[in-house]
This record gives sequence, C-alpha cells and structure tokens, in this order.
Amino acid sequence: MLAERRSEDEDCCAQAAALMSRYCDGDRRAFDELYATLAPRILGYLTGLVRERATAEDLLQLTFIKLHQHRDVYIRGANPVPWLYTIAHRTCLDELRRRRRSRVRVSPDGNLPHEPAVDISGAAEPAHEEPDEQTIARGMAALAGLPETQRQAVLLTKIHGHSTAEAASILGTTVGAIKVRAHRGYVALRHRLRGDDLAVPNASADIAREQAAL
Amino acid sequence: MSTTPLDDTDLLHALREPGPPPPASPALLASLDDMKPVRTRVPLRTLLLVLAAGCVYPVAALALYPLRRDLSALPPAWLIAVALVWLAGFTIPLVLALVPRRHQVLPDAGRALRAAVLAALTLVLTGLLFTVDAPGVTILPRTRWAGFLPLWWHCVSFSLKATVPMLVAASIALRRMTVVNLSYLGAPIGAVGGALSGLTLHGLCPYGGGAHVGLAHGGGVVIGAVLGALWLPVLARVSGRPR
Repeated sequence: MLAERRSEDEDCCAQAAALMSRYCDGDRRAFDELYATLAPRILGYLTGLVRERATAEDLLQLTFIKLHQHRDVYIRGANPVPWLYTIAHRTCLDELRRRRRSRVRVSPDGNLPHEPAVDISGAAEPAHEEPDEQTIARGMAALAGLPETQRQAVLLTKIHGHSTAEAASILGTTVGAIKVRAHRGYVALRHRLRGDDLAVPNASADIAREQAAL
Repeated sequence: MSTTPLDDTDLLHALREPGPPPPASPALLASLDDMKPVRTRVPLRTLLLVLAAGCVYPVAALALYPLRRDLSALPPAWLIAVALVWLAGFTIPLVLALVPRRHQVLPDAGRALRAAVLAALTLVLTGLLFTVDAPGVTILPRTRWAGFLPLWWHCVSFSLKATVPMLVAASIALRRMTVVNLSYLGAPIGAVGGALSGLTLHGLCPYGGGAHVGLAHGGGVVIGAVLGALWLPVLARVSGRPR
C-alpha cells in the first residue's frame, strides 16, 4: 500500500514538473491543470495548519498568486511540489503575522478596502468523492491538539508523504529536528486517536488564542 | 470512539485532501492575465553572481599587495594542503547554499548550515593547530592583547570586505525564493566570504602564529557566518520590498 502511494506520488511529481514547465512557457491550461492537481493537497496542508477551512481557502488562493508572481524562480525539470508547500507555509506565516499587526485595515480616508466580487457564474463545481466527515473531524481534532511544530512535521511527513529532507526544506529547519518532531507528534497523535473522549475543538477560538499568544 | 490505528489509509487520505478545493478566486484569475513565458532560474548563474561579488576585493588585494615574504621558506606540501582546506571550506558551503539538490527548486538550508558550522570549526582549528612558521622569516604577532588585537582586526576587516558584497549579492539573488528560514542560508554565505578571504590571506598575510591565523583568519569565517545569519533576512526583505 505504501509503495503504491509512493509510486503515485512520484507520478504526480513528474506530472507536476511537466505542467510547471509548460506553465512557465506561458500555457494557461497548464496552470489550470496544475491547480486541479495540487490545490487539494495544499488545501489539506493549510487546513491542518490553520484548522479553519475558510482561512485555508484564502491562503490557498494567495499561495497560487505567489506561485504565479515567482514562477521565474522555478528550475526546469525540478519537482515543484515541495516548493509549493514552502510557498504555502511562508504565506501562512506571513498572514498570521499580518493579522497580528493589524486586525482591521482601512484606507487613508478611513474606508474598508475594496474586496473583489465573488464569481457566481452558476456553474456546478466539479464532482468529487467526499471523504467521511466524521473521519476528517476525528483526525483534525487529534491534529489540533498537537504543538505547532509537531503538527507541521506530522502533516508534511506522515500525511502528505514528504521525505524528512523535503519537510526540513519546506519548514526551514534541519532534518534531525523534523525527525524528532515527526516522531513525537506521531506518537502523540496515535495516543489521541485511541482516546475515548476526543472532542472536536473550536477552531476559531483556537486560532484567536494562538494569535493572542503571538 | 474506536481504536483505529493511525496508519489507516482512509484517515491519512482524508487528512491529506479534506474535500475539493474552491475554484480559482477573481484575484487569482486577475493575476493570471499577464500569462507570459518567463525565463526560469539557473542556479549556476546565481552562484557565479555571488562568487563574483565576493571575489572583487580579494582579487584586487592579490593584484595590489605583495605575496607574504616567507612564502618560499614554508614547506610547499603544507602550503598546498592548507590552501586546499580553505578552498573546500569556501566551495562546499557556497554550492550547498545556492545549488538545490537534484530535482529540487530550493537549496537544502539545513545541509548548508551544517556545512557552514563544520567549515568554520575546521578552519579555526586548522589555523590554531596546524600553522607552520618559517623561523626568522615569518613575523609573529606579540602575544599581548595590545599587539594582537590591531592585527586581528586588520585581517577580520579584510574578511568583511569580501563578505559584505557577497551577502548583498546573495540577498538580491535569493529575495524572491520564498525560503522560510533565510538565516540558514545566510550563515553559509557569510562563512564563504570569510573562507574566501582566508584563502587569500594564506598567500598574502605576512603574520604567522597559530593564534593569529586561527582567531583572525578563521575568526573571519565565524564572524561572516554570524553576520550572514543576522543580515541576509534583513537585506533580502529590503531588496525585495516593492518600490
């Protein structure tokens, strides 16, 4: 099963590298395919980090905007997936810092900034097999209880299947630190998943507490 | 609640992709309007740019100042061996800090940091323990602080003149790379500036003695690494700020 998943990941990386090269050549369809391929995984990572779906969706959009702005940094033939995770992680950190600095942003004349209108074309969203919500809630609750650094390491290595070297590169730390954090987080996660009275925490309250601590 | 083990594939998959992503937002779609082909990065070009910035002062110094006067009196094998150690201390962290592993976009910052620490330690210890002097020809600095410190500062400031341009060039090259922890790349680049100067001083500095070579020439590597770790994130932020 693990080998199967690894082979799937390798295929995905090769496909992503090819798409990224076409995207850098100015192919708009390649971007759409790249978004369709990688956005679910990046969204999963961001949801695990911020524990709030709406915030994670905003960060996902920002991540892809940054990818577009910095696409000249890409090296042809390289695997763009760990890099995209790094951009997502950095975007998440920047956003948390920005929120800490200013709760409400107003223009010099005192008005709220203009928000772009939501696209309501009426087209149906693509069909997707929904995972069991109870399973997600249980896993998310267990993840939410982990310390920040352990949660990041577990998300990247155990859930998103990155190597410890890739995870270290994404988080900007050493392989040794990732190994320790991932192991401790994994053990704690197992304990939590085996617990009988695991309650789903209030994500908004949790984030507010975290921001206050920052 | 059940006691399902964590390696349950459904749970891992559910956490990995907890639902479909939203369609691209209007802001993202608007940013895609300028879809033009771009010239992608070539790491070797970045490496050469940073190296060129670091080489300006040492090359000028080699052209302007005479070689150390005890050069012909020192054992050639020692001269070559120590030069190779300085060369390795300069090339390995530079390559690791700027050239990503195969099929990766970003350099491995942790590996580059480890290389910088190892290089700094090796170069300080090489200077302290393996310095050879030619009796009567090599000038030995006084062991008192008053005699030692001015010469220490002279060689450390030589290192800084190579390190600072390197850090500025690296900050320009790395400012758009969205690395999470730029300090981890700043330390090796700063250490490289110190090691490049140390290699130059190996051929220029007329002063000998393990204490001078270890603490002034090797110290330049340590000071460069610390400066790089502290300054590179700041310089990258300043040079990457939209005008």
